Amino acid sequence: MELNSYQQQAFNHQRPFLEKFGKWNWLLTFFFIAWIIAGLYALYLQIAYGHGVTGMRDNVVWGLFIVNFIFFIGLSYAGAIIAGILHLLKLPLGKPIVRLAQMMTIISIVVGPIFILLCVGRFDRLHHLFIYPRIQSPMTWDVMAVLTFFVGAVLFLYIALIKDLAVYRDAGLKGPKWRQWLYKTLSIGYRGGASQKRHLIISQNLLAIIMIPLSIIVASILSWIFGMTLRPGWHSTIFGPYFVLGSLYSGTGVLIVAMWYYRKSHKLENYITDQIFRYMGYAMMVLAAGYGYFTFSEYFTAWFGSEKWDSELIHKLFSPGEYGWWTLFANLAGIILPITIVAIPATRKTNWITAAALIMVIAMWVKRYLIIVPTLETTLLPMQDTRTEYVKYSATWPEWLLTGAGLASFFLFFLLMSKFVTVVPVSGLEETNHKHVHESMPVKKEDIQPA
Amino acid sequence: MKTATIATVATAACGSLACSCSSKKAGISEKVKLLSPDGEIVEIDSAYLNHQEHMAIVSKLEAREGIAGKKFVMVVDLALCKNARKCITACQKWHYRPEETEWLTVKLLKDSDKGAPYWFPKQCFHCDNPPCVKVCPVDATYKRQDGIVLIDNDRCIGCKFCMAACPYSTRVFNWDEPDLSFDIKDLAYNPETGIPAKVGTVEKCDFCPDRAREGLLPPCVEACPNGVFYFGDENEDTVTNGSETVSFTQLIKDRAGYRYMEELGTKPRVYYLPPKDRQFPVERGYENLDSNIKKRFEDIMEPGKNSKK
Amino acid sequence: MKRPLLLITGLLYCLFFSIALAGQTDSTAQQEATEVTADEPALISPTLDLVTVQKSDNTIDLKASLKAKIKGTLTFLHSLKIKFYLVTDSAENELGTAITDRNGNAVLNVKAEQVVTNKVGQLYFKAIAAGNKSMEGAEGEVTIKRAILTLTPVKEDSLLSVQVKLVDVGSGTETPVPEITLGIFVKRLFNPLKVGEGATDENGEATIEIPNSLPGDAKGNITLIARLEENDTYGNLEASAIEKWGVPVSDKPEEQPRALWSSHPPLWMLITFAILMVAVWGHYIVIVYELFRLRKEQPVLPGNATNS
Repeated sequence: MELNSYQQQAFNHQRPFLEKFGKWNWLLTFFFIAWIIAGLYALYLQIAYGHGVTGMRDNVVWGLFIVNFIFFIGLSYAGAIIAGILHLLKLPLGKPIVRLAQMMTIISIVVGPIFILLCVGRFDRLHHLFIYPRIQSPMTWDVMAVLTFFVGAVLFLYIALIKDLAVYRDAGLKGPKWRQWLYKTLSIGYRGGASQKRHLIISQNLLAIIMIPLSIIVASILSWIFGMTLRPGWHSTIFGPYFVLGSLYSGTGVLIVAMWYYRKSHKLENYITDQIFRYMGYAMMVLAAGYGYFTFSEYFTAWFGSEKWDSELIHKLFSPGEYGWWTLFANLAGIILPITIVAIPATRKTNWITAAALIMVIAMWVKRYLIIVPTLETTLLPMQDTRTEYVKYSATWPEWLLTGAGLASFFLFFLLMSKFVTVVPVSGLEETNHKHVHESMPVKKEDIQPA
Repeated sequence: MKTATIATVATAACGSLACSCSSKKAGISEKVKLLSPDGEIVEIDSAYLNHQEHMAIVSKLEAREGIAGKKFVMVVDLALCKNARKCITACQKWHYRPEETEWLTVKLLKDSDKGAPYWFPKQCFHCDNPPCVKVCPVDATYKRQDGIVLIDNDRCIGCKFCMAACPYSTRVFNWDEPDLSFDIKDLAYNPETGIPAKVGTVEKCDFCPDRAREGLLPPCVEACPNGVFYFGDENEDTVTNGSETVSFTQLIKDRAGYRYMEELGTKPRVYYLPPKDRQFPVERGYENLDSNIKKRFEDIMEPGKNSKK
Repeated sequence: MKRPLLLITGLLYCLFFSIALAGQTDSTAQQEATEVTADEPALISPTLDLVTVQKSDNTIDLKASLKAKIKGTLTFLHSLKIKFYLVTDSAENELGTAITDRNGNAVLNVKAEQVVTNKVGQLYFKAIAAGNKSMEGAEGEVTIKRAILTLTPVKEDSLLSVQVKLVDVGSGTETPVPEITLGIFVKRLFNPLKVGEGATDENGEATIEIPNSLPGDAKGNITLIARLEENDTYGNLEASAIEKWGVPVSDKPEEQPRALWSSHPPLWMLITFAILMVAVWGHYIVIVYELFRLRKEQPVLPGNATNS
């Protein structure tokens, strides 16, 4: 595999991270595995004693698990759209971060559905979804959508990896034998020849073209699980676009945070530059404005109209005694904050943008919670139930443990993947960023020399 | 003498109220202790307890298709309901469900600020355009030709989408392993009987099709002391509350029967007769309640008592 | 003699045992046994109501209903033996026995020829439930006069009516019974529906109109029932006939339409779904094919022989 000097430089810089695991990573790995084990214990409790160990009851039948499901799947769809756009538009600025976007896509689509499996009452009957499917059900659409998308995401990441895998294969990296074998097998003999290149380009373009509309469709399908019911706050005509935009927005945030982390830990200041952060910040700002617009439309329309259940829901969402403070946080931190940070030139800096993105991601998770739980607590008929756990949902510790375990798996997968492939793709990298390198760190002498 | 006594007790145990049956299944060898006329405690095979509380089971296919030519419908007379709650206990007893499981519930509705509160018994409406059936991904809940919407708890995966979709919040879920009494836990499950309950699945009022097949009214209809529930076949245009039998269309016409939240378009099969010229003041249904049930309606019956909002 | 007595005693013991546990919801039999010995309930006094239904096939149903108020709740006493007697001037003749069902009702059907009227031309029936350790005995009686109710459906053009005739045959001669109100019912799934009413004239006859749009069975048949209910002299009388006067209601199994809520999806939905799936997975297949082509075209270099 031929690399130009710039690409070679990029590879040499990242090479140590592929060859060494490092103490810090071992620590992290054990920490994440500990969480996962705790989560497995909570799962055992749930299977052995029934879903009564969670906080869900007859009114709020969907809680933390579904919130996490929507959150992670949303990230996945966003990753696909971002990676697809970056690929099709052939933006040189985008090349360093495409790999991260695709990693986010794959990892989220693995972690997300785990949560919905946790939410299903009869784990042992999941095959019924395939033996007795009803295609009128939004849930069947979602199952098919997630499966189809998963295959697409795997193909998407894989095809983008082929060139790099060839590089890794030929580089003679220090590491386990099975990893070398994987590089050899998965790179399917790619040598960079013209005809091979042609096949690769065809595949890549075809996939990118289909992944973007597919992501939009599957994100809408996800929203229709809620949108097709008759509940206040859910039965809204804009739910499809609302969820698509919401996913895209939170995906951008997670991508920014991931960019920042790897830039720091892998010293990738020359590649994931401040300029990229700025542009991602702009994207985040625009998406925030869009998402804010949708949110405002939803709340304002519900509030202005007089319909009983919409009014009850709005009251519940905005009254300080109930969800008012959460709503304030979700919208201020989730929408206003990122816009402000990016809009003001003084704060349009990498660290500020990342901080805003991190807070925004948490706020978006809270926003998903506010979409799911208050609506379920606003029943059309009066609840008239004296059992508090039936009237108001409060998640129990098994649910939090499992949420933590899911998050831990997410981070763990990222960690493991970053030991298998380079975070910044080396083949296809272009030198446009070279000029702006001086903004952050000076280029180290040893990086310029070939290894 | 002793064998004669034991045999007598065994056949006599046919009548035992407290001991219900294990059904037509082979090979149960549970021993049951009974009191013999001599005052001795004897152990007999529970197979001798043959009291058939629950009717013959139909095939799964028949349970899916329903009874041809019938269209079950219910009419609830709100002018007669005084929240006696005998319907709820009768339903729970027939289906072997605990006190907390209310397939049938009585709500206290107050339509507007100045409107009068009234007791509102609510089962499943068995809608003709059911939002719950629409969303089931595995066809576990289904609409039959006789109008009944049933749940097959052998197929239900417990995703609870139907519970989120039902606007009347009529479905309940088995969050924990249900507490099954010995005589029903080995029964062969059939969607028409709904027995035994299964953990991790959804359940709801089923209009008791197993009883209808035998020409028996559902226990809620029979148990109501005021004859609030009328049940029957719309095709025959007849509904009965056990003592009164009337033409369905005539009843709806004369008493201005309506369907609850008609505008949702779900086309319920339960009609309500407005609470006009009520037989009992609404307080009658509130006064002698258990305190924990009373608490449910405190906000409406004694506003200002819990000024916590 | 001993065996039937034993049987009855056993039955009644079991009754005592069940009644004492009427309130229990969840108990093992062991628990029940110990609870029985701990409890000392007062003697129950049941009531036995006896009514008769004289049918048009010259039989009489004797219906005994046994119930008692136990702990404030009216309970139907089931699985108890009721003995039915005909009381003539000279003796009490046992007619037969029946066991009460889950609703506390026991029915014995006797042929009209079997029963003999007493001095005043009445039929005097008695029903007895024997007492036991926990229950007092109960007795019910009813006196009726023998009568025959006939039902004749009459159709004139589109006017449907039934002619009923009530005739008293108790005193050996046939005497029409005037000014008696009879109801006309049509058989339904649970309970019969009243569709007409009328009073007999001096000839004991009445012509009662019935509606002509009643739903019937699949062939349009309806079962008409004429009933005299709870008459002091005659008890209950019943006569029935089947006529093809109903609107046919199909009993053919209905197929589920293609709909959002049925097991069969709307055609357009199925087609759209299929097209989408084929489009996307088709793309995947093409892509994977391209990858295979790519692999095939790997250049053969020395040392490449081990390439997979």
